[in-house]
Amino acid sequence: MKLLYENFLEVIKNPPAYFVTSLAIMVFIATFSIIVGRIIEKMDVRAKPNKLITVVIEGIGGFNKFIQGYVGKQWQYVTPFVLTMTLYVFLSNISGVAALDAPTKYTAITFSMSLMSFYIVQSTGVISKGAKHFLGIFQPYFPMLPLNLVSEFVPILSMALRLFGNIAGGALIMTLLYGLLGWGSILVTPPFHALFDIGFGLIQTIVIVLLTIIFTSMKISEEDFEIIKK
Amino acid sequence: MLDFINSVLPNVLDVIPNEFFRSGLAYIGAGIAVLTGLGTGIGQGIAAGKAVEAVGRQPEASGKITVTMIVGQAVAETTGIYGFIIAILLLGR
Repeated sequence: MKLLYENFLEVIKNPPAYFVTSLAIMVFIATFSIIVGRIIEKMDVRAKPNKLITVVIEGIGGFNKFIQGYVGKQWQYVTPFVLTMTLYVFLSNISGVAALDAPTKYTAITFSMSLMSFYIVQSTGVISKGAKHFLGIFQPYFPMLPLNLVSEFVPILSMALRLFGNIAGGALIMTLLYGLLGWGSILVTPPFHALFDIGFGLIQTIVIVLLTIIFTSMKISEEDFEIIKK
Repeated sequence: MLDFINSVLPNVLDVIPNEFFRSGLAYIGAGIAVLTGLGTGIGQGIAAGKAVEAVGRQPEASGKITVTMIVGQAVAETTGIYGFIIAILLLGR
């Protein structure tokens, strides 16, 4: 117990670089959301908003419709979690371009993201089906229990390692390239940054969000899909 | 278990099991681990070929086909990344 306390104090006094970057990204997303939310709330219904507010309103409307098409009635519960996860993972993957220490290069952050995804899937199942959600691992018949348990828990490992492997592998290649070229890397590395950091970062964000939503849509009961069929 | 292997090994092969021997075997293991890229490359190449064929058959749907192919390949790439992670872990030994 004493060792835990001392390690905790050590992290608070000299934090590692990726921890500071992660906190800065969280603070940025939170303040941006609060400020833009206040502006939209106080706007008159007939006023014409400027470009940034229009982009935000259209973006969130499109995201809501996208999730409603998969999940049905529970979209108001699922969307805040998934939108926050999207913004955090996307900004973390991109921060390699700004010469920051990307948080998703470390397995602590990616395992937290995949545990968040596991929580979203299971809690939406419990809200939609009640206590019958836990009987779902015995479908279609009783001896399928080990296989169903494995297929519930293994996506935690696979989602975390997929994100970690892509971003850390890209960062390793960029480190080797910078070490090889020295000052000449100013001319050569921009296309590599565009491919590895921005390209793979965007693709992995889409993959992790789509997998979460598809796993959620497999766990909800039939009557919650009524809202799509209208 | 390691003591047993260390005692049997000088009688079977002509080596001394110190830390250089272990480090060399770890490097060989890292090289073998990256061979998982073989199956991944073949699978993703076949998927890309089918996507190009589909675009050739109906060029108006090329946006949707591209997005679906990218997502499918990002999921199929996972097993190749597993081999890469094992190789990086072994290089540190």
